[in-house]
Amino acid sequence: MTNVTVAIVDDHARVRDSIAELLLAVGYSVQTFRSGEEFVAYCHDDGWMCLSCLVLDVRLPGINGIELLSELSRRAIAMPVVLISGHATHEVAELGRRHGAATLLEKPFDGETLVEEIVHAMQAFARPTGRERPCTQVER
Amino acid sequence: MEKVDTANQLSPDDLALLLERTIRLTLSPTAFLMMITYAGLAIAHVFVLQPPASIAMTALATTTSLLCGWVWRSVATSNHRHLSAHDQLGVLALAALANIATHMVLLGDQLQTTYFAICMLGCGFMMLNRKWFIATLTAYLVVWILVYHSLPRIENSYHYEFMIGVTSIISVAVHVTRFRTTTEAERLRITANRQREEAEANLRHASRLITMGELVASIAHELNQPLSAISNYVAAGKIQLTAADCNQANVRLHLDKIGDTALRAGEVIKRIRRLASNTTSSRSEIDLNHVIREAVTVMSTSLQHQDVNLCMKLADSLPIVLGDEIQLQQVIINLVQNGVESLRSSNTPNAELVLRTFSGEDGPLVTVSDNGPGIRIDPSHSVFDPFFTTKPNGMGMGLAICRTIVEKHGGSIWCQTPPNANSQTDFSFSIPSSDGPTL
Repeated sequence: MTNVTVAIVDDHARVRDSIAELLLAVGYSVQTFRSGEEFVAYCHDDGWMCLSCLVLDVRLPGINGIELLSELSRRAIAMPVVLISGHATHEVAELGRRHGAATLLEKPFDGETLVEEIVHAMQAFARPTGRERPCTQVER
Repeated sequence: MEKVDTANQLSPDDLALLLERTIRLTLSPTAFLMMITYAGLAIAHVFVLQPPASIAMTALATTTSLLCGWVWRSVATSNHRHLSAHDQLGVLALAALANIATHMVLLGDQLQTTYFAICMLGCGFMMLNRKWFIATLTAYLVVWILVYHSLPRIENSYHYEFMIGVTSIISVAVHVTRFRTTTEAERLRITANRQREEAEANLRHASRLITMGELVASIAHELNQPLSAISNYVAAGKIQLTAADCNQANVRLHLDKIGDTALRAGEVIKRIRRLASNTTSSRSEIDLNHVIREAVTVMSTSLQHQDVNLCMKLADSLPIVLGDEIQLQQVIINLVQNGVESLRSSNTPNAELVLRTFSGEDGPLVTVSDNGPGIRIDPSHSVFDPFFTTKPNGMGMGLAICRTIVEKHGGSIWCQTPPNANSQTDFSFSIPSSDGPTL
């Protein structure tokens, strides 16, 4: 559990802060971003290398969560992703999965579930031939 | 004995009629005052007999009174509006003043003067209706001719005083009928006004509900955020409580945040409820900048997800206006939504809406500009006409309601495409400030 840094991308300050508090309580480090653009800028200079997981809101102003995932694939940036959305439909979940997200949680979700999903996503990502690995999307 | 004989000339039916009208008369405060005055004058005439005035003098006073009444009516109707109760009182007052002045000068007799004045009030009053004018004038002239010239004047005769009393009662009866007619017309107008206001309120409510329907996804999103945050804070608190080195201060911090977030969620609900409620209009002193910020807060999420960039360029301070906050908020929401829909339907790249406020000479000015394709319409139509729409599913009510609300606040609303802009539409409205002329 040590040295786990989770990036949180959500436009809503309260949600961002609460997830950060939750993950800090668990013992993770956190990095928060208000928008997809902010996160892309952060990834620009290899800052993403220290990230263990990404918690990403789907509905964002500017580029949305799914578009951000495409952008990450294009830049060959791969990491475990947990999508969160207030409007989680089957289609969005499927789209997210195709873009490499491990799962989609519908808001409001149980904080403990989020932690579990983050752990699952990181474990799945760590498996060498995991089908969910985002990098497989890049190679395709 | 003569008194009794004269009284017999009135049939019981006439008396009943007079009684009935006198009772009705008391229903109107103004009419009641007038009746008391007439009664007082009649009694005064019985005890203080004055020599008769000439017909010429009466005619002169009457003409002056009518002239004043006519002047007042012309002024009052020059703005193409109906005569209000206020105007009617104005006609009366002016006619009375003119009469008193004329008689004071010509007769130098205060009692007679006042009596003439009160009678001539009727003439001024009758200017409001041609039929009643002719009837009253004829009645007055006939009675005065009878009293002063045809009937033999006997010293200390009760007959003469009684005739003056009868004249007074006849004028009371005429006035009562006139008042009743006026009251009835007034009542009908008030009812019609109330019905129209109710219809308008219903329409605005319907429009708000439509707006609400469009905003519902945004509301759900808005509430989901604080609920998610609360859930996360709870989980964080639980984890900290079960940890070996439980930090109570941290748990307390999370509890504080939970409480705070829940209250914020409550604020969202309150705001939405205010918008949806069908309250009758209430007036208060309003800063339009504040109204705009409130409206934008309600719409912010829905705007974000429609890929429209909203930019606010608000004046530092705006003159205060007197108005209904919710209705003005509705105007802003309708204008912004109209802009958003136009941008979306035209797939404008870099869609942008700009909300500006200016401090104008007469009051604040608000402009909502979009960089969409603009509106091309037949100049004979107005975008503010009810049921005018360029959208396939539009009802054409949003802008019509905006106009109704703005005009009710004494302001005006307009739409223009600046000549130097390739694609831009400006919707602007101004409301007179509360220290200037309002409704």
